[in-house]
Amino acid sequence: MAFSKIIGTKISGITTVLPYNKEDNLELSALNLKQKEELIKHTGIRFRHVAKEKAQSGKVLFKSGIEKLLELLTWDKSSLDVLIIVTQTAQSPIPSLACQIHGEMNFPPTTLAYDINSGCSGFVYGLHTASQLLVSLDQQGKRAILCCGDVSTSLTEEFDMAVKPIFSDAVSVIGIEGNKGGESYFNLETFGKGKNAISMQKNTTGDWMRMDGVDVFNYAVKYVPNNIKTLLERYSNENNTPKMYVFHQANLLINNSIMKAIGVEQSVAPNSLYDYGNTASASIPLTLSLNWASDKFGWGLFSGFGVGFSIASALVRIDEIKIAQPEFINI
Amino acid sequence: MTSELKFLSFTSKEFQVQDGLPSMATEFRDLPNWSSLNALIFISAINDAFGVLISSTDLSKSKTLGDLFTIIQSSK
Repeated sequence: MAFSKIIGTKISGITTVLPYNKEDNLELSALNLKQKEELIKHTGIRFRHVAKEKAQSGKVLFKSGIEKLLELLTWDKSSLDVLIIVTQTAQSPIPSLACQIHGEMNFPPTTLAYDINSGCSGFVYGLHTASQLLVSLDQQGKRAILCCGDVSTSLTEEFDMAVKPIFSDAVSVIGIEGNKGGESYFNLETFGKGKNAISMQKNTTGDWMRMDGVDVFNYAVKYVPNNIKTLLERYSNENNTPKMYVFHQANLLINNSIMKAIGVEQSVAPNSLYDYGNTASASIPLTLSLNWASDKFGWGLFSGFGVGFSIASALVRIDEIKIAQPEFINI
Repeated sequence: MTSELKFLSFTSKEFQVQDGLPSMATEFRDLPNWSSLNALIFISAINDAFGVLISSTDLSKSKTLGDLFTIIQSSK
């Protein structure tokens, strides 16, 4: 699958929850001051939110985000048809985190629930899956909750300066529902030859996420611009030109190179790197939440890319959406 | 300015080399400030300046600035 269009769903709301605790890249003990300043200048990342307790934090963050979304949209759990969790840090492979949360939050049996193992492209993949599931439902009212995010710091080794200064913990929870006027268009691609660009590798101290920064840069800069260009060539016209481009927040070097390649100005492509770092599949909804304004109602272009190597972009009509500013909890 | 000289001048600026231009025989891992971050910055700058992406496989096989220059020339 590459191109896909979904008619009949819309994003209704977004909440984002992060650990209150944050770390400062200027305080990294493994680097000298000049190295730290270079790191912040080129990655764009100063602060990272870090859960102090790793094992249960993902579930706590997701449950908190779901509660806040239900309140924001005044949705009752009994009206939910779909619960999808996009994560790579579920801590235990079975049962799925979606089933655990379904049980602990008393969702009804009619809410289907499963996990999607996906990282930085996961928001767009999750949006596609949840929207497609809603379209397939044989009923009038249709509602889905899509949860995206990771406790990535549970995978980072203390002195790995290619990984630790980049990743930050966060989850976003997105409400999606059936809507006659809703339109979204997708370009979903996989470049599995790039599977080693970001991977888990064992050493004597544990099993850690490793990143080949040059490989990630190459895959992203080589393939993401074309993924976006071909999506827009196929589906964009004068009526649905994106007013805002929200990219996965990888690092400034990669994001600036992608924007330059497709000719997008910073004024229409917000970033959240300085204060939030790379928050994996939460980065697009988090950045959208921080920069949303009512005068920007219209069409948005989302592009996620990373571990896999996986790339997914979406041209989405956004209207009448409720967005809560990020909240912080002490975990 | 020859393309070789342009590349050496570009490299010198990127790594803030103080004592004259490096040569094509210079092993780039011996340049001041070489690190995994600066490798990425260098690859990004080469992409900006020459429109060529150096892969991590090509980078790990290369030793000298001449090796990188050959890749850039053959990829153009």
